[in-house]
Amino acid sequence: MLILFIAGQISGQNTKKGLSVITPELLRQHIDFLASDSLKGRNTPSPELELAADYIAKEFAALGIRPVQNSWFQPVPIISRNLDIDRCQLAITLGDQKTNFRLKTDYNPFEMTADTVVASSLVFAGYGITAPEYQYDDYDGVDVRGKIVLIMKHEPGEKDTASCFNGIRETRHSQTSVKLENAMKHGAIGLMIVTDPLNHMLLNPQGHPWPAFSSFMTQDNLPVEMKDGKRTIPCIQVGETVVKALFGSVDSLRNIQKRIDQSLKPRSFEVPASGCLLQTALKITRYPVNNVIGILEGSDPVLKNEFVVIGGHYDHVGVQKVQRQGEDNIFNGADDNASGTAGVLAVAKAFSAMKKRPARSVVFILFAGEEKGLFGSQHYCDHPVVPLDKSVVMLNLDMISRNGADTLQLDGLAYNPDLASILMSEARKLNLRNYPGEEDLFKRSDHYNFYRKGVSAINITSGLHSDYHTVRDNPDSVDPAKAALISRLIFKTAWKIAGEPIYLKTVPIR
Amino acid sequence: MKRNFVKTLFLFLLVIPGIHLYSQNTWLLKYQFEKGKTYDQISRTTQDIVQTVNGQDIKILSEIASTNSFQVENRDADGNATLLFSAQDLSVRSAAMGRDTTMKYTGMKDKVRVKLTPAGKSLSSVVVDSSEVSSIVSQLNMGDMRHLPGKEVKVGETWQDQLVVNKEKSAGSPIAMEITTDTEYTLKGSEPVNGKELLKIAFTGTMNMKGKGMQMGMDMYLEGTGKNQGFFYYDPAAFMIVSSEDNSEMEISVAVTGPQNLTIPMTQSVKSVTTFTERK
Repeated sequence: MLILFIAGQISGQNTKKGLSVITPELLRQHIDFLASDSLKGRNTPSPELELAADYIAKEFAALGIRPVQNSWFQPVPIISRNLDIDRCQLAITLGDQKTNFRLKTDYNPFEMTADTVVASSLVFAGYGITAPEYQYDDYDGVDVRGKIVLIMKHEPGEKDTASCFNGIRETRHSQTSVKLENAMKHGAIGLMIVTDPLNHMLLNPQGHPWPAFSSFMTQDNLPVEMKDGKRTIPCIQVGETVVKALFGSVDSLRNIQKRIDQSLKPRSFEVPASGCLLQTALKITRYPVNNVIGILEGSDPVLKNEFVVIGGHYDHVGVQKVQRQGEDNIFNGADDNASGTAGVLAVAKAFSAMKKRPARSVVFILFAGEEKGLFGSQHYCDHPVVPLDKSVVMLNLDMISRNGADTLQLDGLAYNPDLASILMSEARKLNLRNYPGEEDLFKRSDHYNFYRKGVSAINITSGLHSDYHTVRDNPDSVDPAKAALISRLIFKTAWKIAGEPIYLKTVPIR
Repeated sequence: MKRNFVKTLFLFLLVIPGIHLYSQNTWLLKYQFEKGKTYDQISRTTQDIVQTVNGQDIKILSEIASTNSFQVENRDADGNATLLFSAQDLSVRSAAMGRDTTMKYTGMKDKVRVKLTPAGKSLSSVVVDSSEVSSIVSQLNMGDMRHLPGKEVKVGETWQDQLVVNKEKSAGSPIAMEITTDTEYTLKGSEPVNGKELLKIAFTGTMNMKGKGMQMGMDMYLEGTGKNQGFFYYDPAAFMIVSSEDNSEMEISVAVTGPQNLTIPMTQSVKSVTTFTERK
């Protein structure tokens, strides 16, 4: 009762003081810095992203927001991987005859290969499929534990409308990633995949188009990814030369495939007197990338252990590498998402301006790597600095400064009915009206990772526009008054939830 | 806000159809078009594309069915013919990521006037009229005919042909491409087809492709190699191809740079069947 009373008192506190510090001038100041040309589009990773992170941390510090575990920064393990062509090798021994195969010409690692070396005998395992629903298992009767497995691409009856799999519609079993997973599940230590010759003309070892091989890609043309720690094994595509070495001819393999397709019985076997040495080597580059996190501790001795999370991403997409004369090549990302970052900072300032702190603690997070695949929020949700099951809400600000004075797009209302009700009520008080966008953006920003973990989460945005992800998303194209208005909405909503022991239910996506 | 790159790439991929269509030379005697005659051209192309993004295979199936016609406007003393191609009906179906959409267009007004040598090589090509779907129509390569050797060839005889096609960037295709095809043709013999004695020519070939362009703020580069094989029937009495079937496979590497760096392996299988019928 006492807790409820105190909480109610705090919740009822006039938010005027907080609201008064959220001004268009403040939003303008943050946006102008974050979206300036000197920050070169805040790409993940880039030195300019680090500058933006430092700026955010300094702002938090100036507001009296505290770091978590003595640091403003949560490192996000962003890496890129290129093939180390000098350390890859494939050698196959049959009896006393050893053949060394050539990278690119005879074999090529897939993108998901491991950085390791393995050696064992070889097992041919048909299509490498285990599909109990079709009473089909290429691994039936062969033991591949500790062995390197050779399999074919696709699935039985690929071009056959009467195929027991799914006619000519390929099932998930034909996916390379599923075959790799299945091989690992059966204990294989290496995987070689060849295009099935019955239905296909090309038996090239296509694998992955590594920049190391390419005549037209620059060596830095590598996607960044988040190191996921998932176990994998060496996984390569082999071509015709390997088939001929193992089967004598492509026709021999084609005949085996024909028999498998006709009988739907596995024709797997251990290659007699075989040995295989397979090494796929990677050059892994790690980048310094951080989420920036600050916390305002709650005032209630119990409720302070529950958290309201307010966040947005501070990265954008950098610069166009090929600069054309006279053309702007910087994706400044003023709306996307300097505006949302500025909004989080403004809301933080509003909380710190209030005489009393709210009952619950408030966590402010600016995420990196959103544009590359929601990496920062994914990492945070896998390694939260405060317990996710005690995080009662996540309010995400992504692009809040465009599309007219009174428009609002709230993504995820249907899945967060309680939060929707509070947000809509507060929005009405500010004369903001929700206009559902043409595109469903619910899965396209950082709040989604929180929702997936059971936290009530909605994305608050002013919506897409024609400058989205173009070099025209400049500071002069944003409306700081609009950003300020939406920031006030977030402050009022967050203040209400932070002040009362209310719990918000979510509805699963069907 | 994260961009939906899968959708972006899907849009990009739709520009690739038609790369191989008619890109290899064919064989045979020559075309001898007669002024005033009109032919209907019915084509059906099915295409499977698999691209791997972040370890996940994404399959895209498309089917393009088109009906065009062409009228022989003139034939000069050198045997060069002026043909006016008119698009009539077009159906484009694409299925990917759980979506299956079909777009149908009828009564189209797109027209292309081409001047062809007796071997079927293009001397000129001018768009006479276009419609709101001209970007799609441009990918049909309307006006391209299979090349013929322009001479008599013995049964069992083979011959080689190389063709370099440069495709400029256009509204429908933001990638400029150079496609080189090396094709070997073999005259298999004559056989009766629907009551007519027709010549069957089989072919196998290799294809190489390079491309460069820009889409949605990203620079794109691609290169690929492939093989094709098929056959066509030629009516020696009418000096005209009657039908053709072409199967091809390509493996393509795509690099995207700019706001996002991506390297994507892609395979493309295409089957194309075309028939020509003289309008009586």
